[in-house]
Amino acid sequence: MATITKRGKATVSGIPGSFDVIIYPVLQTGKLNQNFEEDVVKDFLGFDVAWNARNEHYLGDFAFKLLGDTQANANAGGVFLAPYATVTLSGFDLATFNGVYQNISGGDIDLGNTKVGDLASKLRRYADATQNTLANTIPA
Amino acid sequence: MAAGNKPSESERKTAIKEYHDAASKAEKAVVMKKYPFLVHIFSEGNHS
Repeated sequence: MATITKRGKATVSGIPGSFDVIIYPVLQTGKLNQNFEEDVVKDFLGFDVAWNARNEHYLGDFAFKLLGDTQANANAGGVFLAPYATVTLSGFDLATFNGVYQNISGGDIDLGNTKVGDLASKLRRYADATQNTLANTIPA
Repeated sequence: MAAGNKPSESERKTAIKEYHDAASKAEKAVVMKKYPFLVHIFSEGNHS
């Protein structure tokens, strides 16, 4: 694979990395969004004086193009993941992206008559390791 | 899936690759039967 030639200030560019359950589609864009629930308490004049944050998690939004070395491979990429399927991301330059995620509602497969098909995947990872393990454990 | 039936990482990778490489829905169903844990990974498996 060709590499980017860089000079000057270092930059983060491109989005190299892999998804263990998505083999053939090629990643185009990836975005992580930080979320947590807040409980903010005000004083008697209405000014915030106490802050409680819970359930910090990251919502991932990843877009792929449906490609493959063969037509069968290209077709194979156009599938939905099961609800809460475990998806492991690795090899990303930014360590924040790497980790174990669960598949959440909102995935898309998008076809058009004059364009290469799109696949979009929505994922969630909890910041707390114990909580994240629980989120990816199938009950016995 | 019971904890004792948890697939190893290599088994998981092999199964996922076989699922993706199966060219037809019928072939994917065969892979699904071979690796029952795949129903927890691919949604299609729950409906075939």
